Amino acid sequence: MAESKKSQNKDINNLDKRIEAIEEILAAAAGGDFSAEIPIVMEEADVLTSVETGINILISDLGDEVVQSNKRADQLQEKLDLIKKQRQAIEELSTPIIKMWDKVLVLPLIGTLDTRRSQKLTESLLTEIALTQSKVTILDITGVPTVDSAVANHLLKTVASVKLLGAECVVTGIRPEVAQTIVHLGVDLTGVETLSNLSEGLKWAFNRLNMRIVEEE
Amino acid sequence: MTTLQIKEEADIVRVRSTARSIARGIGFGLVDQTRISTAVSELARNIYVYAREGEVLIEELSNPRHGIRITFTDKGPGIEDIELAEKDGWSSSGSMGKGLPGAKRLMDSMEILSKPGEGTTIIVAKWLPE
Amino acid sequence: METDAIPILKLKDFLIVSIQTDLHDRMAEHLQYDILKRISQTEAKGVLIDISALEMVDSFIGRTLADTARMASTLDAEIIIVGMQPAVAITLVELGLSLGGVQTAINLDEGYDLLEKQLENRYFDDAESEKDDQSEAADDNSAD
Repeated sequence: MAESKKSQNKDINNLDKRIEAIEEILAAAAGGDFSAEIPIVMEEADVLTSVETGINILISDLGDEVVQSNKRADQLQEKLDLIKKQRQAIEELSTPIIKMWDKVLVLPLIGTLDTRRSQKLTESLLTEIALTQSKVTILDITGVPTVDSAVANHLLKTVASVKLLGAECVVTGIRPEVAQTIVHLGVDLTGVETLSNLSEGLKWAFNRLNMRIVEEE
Repeated sequence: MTTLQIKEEADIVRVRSTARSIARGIGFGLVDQTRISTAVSELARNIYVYAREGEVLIEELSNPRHGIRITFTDKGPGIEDIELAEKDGWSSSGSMGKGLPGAKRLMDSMEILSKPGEGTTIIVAKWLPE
Repeated sequence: METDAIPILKLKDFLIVSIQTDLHDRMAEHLQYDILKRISQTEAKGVLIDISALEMVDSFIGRTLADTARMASTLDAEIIIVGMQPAVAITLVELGLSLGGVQTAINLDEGYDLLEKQLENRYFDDAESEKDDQSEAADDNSAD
């Protein structure tokens, strides 16, 4: 009875200091420092020692986990940066503006047209028209898989801004199924010159420039 | 942070050119500068036409993203039906009704707070593309 | 107000206006009136409005330009808007203003050519129809 009371007293004597140590360790961990440990004297093991050991293990595991998780986050960020770079590369690759003839530009559209892409496309097309002082622009949509009302709307906006600049615009490469969806969706393309293919578009462009292609005899 | 007063018609020009130069300073491209100054012109004119006078606050935003925020405040008649005012082609002044819906399309966000008889506050923002 | 006036130059059958300053609303309205007045004084058949220096066109300026074009055509003159900046064109379309019915040209040369061609076509069309009338009359005569 007397001995057990004595050991309890010993525990209590150390208690304040030891709890303080636990608090410090936890505060350090909360601040992101997982390196410190609660000092443990195994020879004097008591009820609190297992708690202290448990906290030490948890904090060390947590430290490892945080390192791992940071590494994963870095890897993820690297991948995101790569995707961003690739997207830029694809955007640049898929939107060449070709000077077909003096004052004639061709923009072959490939892939889907969302708001962001169509805004960028319109911006670079208009800049190129202003730079080359072109009179005719051919928008070829052979490479556009589907034309829904959103895509049609983007096209209409592009055509309208080209016209405001003072250039003419023709849309070529409308495939039969695209023609079907355009009509089914009730998209109004009046006011937009449309032709079946690029070579018709080029003939139209020459016509607008008062030029004719003549076969040699 | 820049605060400008709208009291006369020439202030519309002053406000939109100030907004443009602040947008340029933040790093917006030429097309976005034009979008911002055009939206500002529409909203500043609304103050002049409907409320006669008011105030425009232009702020640079950096958290969570970089951008610009412009707040238009007036103590004019207010907007009876905000939903209707945001519709294309609707106007109570005989203009074309492109002002509010147009400005909304040119910016990334638009918030309208209005009480009939007390005034209107319109907050628009645009973010710098990543 | 005098200093605010935008000069309107006459060149043969046409008028040339170059807007070099940010237009405030009253200036735009004045310009509209000045252009219409000059058209009627000079009997000009066309007007080139160069807006290449304009950094923005909002709904008020856009509407004023479109209205001026319509008013001019009732005075028998065609208006051509010349040299709109790409950023301005993009913004106008997003604003919801496509200025339908307003003629545009990429530069003054093209604008001038366009006006001349329209003027020629007009006289040519008139001449054509007169010739047609005469030949029809001739046909009638021969039938008799």
